[in-house]
Amino acid sequence: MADRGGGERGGDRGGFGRGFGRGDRGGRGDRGRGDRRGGRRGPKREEEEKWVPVTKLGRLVKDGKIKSLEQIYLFSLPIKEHQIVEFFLGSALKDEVMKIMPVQKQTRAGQRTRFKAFVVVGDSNGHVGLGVKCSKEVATAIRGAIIMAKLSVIPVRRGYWGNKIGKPHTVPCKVTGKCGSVTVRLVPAPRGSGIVAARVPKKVLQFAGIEDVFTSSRGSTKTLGNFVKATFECLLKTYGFLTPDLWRETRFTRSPFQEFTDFLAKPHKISVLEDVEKTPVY
Amino acid sequence: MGRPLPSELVDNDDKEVLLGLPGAWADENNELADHYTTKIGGSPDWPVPLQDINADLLKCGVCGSHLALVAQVYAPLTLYGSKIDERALYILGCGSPSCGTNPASWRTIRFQKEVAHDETLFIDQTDSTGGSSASKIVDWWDENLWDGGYIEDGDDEPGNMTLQDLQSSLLESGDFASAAPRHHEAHSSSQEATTSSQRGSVSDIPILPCFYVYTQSEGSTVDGSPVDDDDSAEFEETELVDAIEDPDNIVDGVGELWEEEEYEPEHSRSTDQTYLNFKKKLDLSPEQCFRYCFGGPPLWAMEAHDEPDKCGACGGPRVYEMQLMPPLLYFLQQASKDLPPSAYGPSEWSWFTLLVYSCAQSCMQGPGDRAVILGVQSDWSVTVEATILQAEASH
Repeated sequence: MADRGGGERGGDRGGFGRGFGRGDRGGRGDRGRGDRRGGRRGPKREEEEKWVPVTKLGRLVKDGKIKSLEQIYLFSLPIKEHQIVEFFLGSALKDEVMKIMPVQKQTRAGQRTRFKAFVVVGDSNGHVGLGVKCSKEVATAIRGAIIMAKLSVIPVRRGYWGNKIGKPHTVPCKVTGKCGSVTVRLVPAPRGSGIVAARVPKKVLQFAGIEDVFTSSRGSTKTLGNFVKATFECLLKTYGFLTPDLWRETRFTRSPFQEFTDFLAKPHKISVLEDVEKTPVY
Repeated sequence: MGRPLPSELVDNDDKEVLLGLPGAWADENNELADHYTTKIGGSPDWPVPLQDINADLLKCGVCGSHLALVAQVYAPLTLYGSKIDERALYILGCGSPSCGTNPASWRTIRFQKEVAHDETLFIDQTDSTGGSSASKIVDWWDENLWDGGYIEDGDDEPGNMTLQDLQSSLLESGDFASAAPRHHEAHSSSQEATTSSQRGSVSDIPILPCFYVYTQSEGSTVDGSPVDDDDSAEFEETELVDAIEDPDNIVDGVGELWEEEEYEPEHSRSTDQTYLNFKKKLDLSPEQCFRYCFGGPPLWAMEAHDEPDKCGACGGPRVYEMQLMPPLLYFLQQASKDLPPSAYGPSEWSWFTLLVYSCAQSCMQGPGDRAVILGVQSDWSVTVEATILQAEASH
C-alpha cells in the first residue's frame, strides 16, 4: 500500500478553482449573484496583484533581504502578511478546501446561517498551514480561509524510522497533539508504509510532505474540526522536540531586524549570516 | 466644557471614506505648490510662512531637531451647513533615529481661514508664492490644467481672494473629480520660473521624497459588495456546499460525518482580530497612503490605543479626521534608498498607522490671536491637532 500521497493529493476533490467551478454550474441562472461570482473568478484586478508591504518584515522580504522562510522561523518572528508566505513558497503552495459547512446562529428574526470553510495549504515539502473562516458567503469564507491558512504556515520536521539513507520521510519521533477532546499521535513508520490515517488528517499530512506515518487517535474524532487541528498541533511540535542531534550549542546570529537596520543606515557594514538553509544534521 | 458634537458627526454610519492613492512623483523634492495641493513629502506649502509665526512648531518635541513634512492635505469641510474651504492639514515628523516611533515627535498643524463673502475681490494678503505668481498665471490659463488632489467636492463659490487664488479655485470648481495629478502644473512652473520654483531651502530642514496624491472613495474600490442573506442566495450556496461534499460519499455512520461546528472567529497565532480587520481593509486597496473621513470611525491596527485629548484652542472634543497608512512608508523608503544615507530618514519609521484627530468644531483662533506676519495680521488661524501613533512591536 505504497500510498505516496503526492499524486493523489490533487486528485479527488481539487482545489478552490475546481470546487468553485461546480458551484457555478449549479448556480447559473437568472440570479445576479451567480454572475457576479462568475465575474470575480476571472483574473484578479491589477491593483490586487501588487503587494505593498505593511510590516517591517514585509518590507525586508520584498526587498529581497531575507533569503528564505526558514530565516523568519528561526527568530520566531510573527508573520502578519500572507504575501510573505506567497513570496517564498510561490507556486509550490497548493491549497485545498476540505470542508464548507453551514453554522447557524439563533437571532430574534430566526436563524442566521453562515458558512465555515476549512482550507489546508502546503507545498508537500515541509510547510503546511490550516485556515478556518466563517462568513456569510461561501466565496468570502473560502478566500478568507486561504489567507488564514497562509498566515499559519509552519515548518514540519521530518526524520527517519531506521537507517538514514535517502531523504527524510517520516516524523522524527513520536509526537502527540490535542485539540478539544481529540488527541492525535503520530508515530514514525518505515519507508513504504504510507500515511496510515483517517481521510481528513491524511490530507494535512500529505500537504506537509510526510510520506510514511502511523497514527493513533483518541476522543471524539467525529468533530473533524478538532481532529484536523489536533493533527496540525502535532506537526507544530515536530520542531519543538529536542533530539540528540540538536544537542550542539546554538551559535546565535542577529535577527533580520537588527541586521538590516544597520544595513540601511550604514551600507558599508558587512554582516555574517549563519547558513540557516541546512536541515538538522543527523 | 465646549459645545456638543454637531449632529452630522454623531452617527458613524454611511460616512464615505476617502483613500489617498499615490499619484506622480514630483520632479524636484522641494517643488513649489500651494496649500490646495495634497502631497506626501516635499517642502511644506504654508499659506503664510510658518517660520515667522512660531518656529517652535517646526521643531521636534523630543530631540529638538527640525521636523520634516510627511503629508500635506487640503481638507475643506462643511460644518453646520457652512463650507470652510480654506483649510489644510500638515503632518510633520522627525527623522532622527531615536524619535521615529515616539508619538511626541510627530505634529499635525491645521491652517484655517474664514472667507467672508462681502469683502472685495482683491484683499491684501501676504502670499509666500507671490514671486512666481505672474509666470504661474500664464501657464495655468494657457494649458487649462486641472488641479487634482483635494479632498471634497469642488468649491462653488470662488470667494474673494487674490487673482492667483481666484484662478486656482475657479479651476477646482471646473472639475471636482480627482483626476490627473498635479505634476503637470508643477512641471510647467519649474520650466518657466526655475529660479523661484525652487524655494530657498533652509539647509537643516529635512525634505522627504515628494509625490502627489489623488483621492478615491473607498466604496468604489470594493468589488462586489456582500449581499445579505436571501433565499435565492442560500439556495445557490447549499448547492455549492453539496458539490464540495465528499465525492466518496462516506455517509451514514462510516465515521466521517462532520459534527456540529459552531461559529468561531478568525484565530491566528501571530496576530489578533483588530489587525486582521486592518489588513483586510488594506488589501482592498493595497496602495492607499491615507484614509480620510472627518468624524468617521478610525481603523485601528492594534487593540490598545491612546485617546486624543481635548482641543487646545476651544476645549471642545476632537474627532477622527484622517490616518496615514503603511504603504506611504514603503513608498518613501523606496525613494530614500537611492539617496545617500543621512541622519534624517524614513527608514527608521515602522509604525502601522498614524491617526489625526482634529477639533470637532474646526475652531479658529480669535481674530486677535491670528497669525501675525511681519507685523501685519493675517486671517489665518494656526492650531496644533492631536496625533496618535500605533507602532509596530520592535524585536
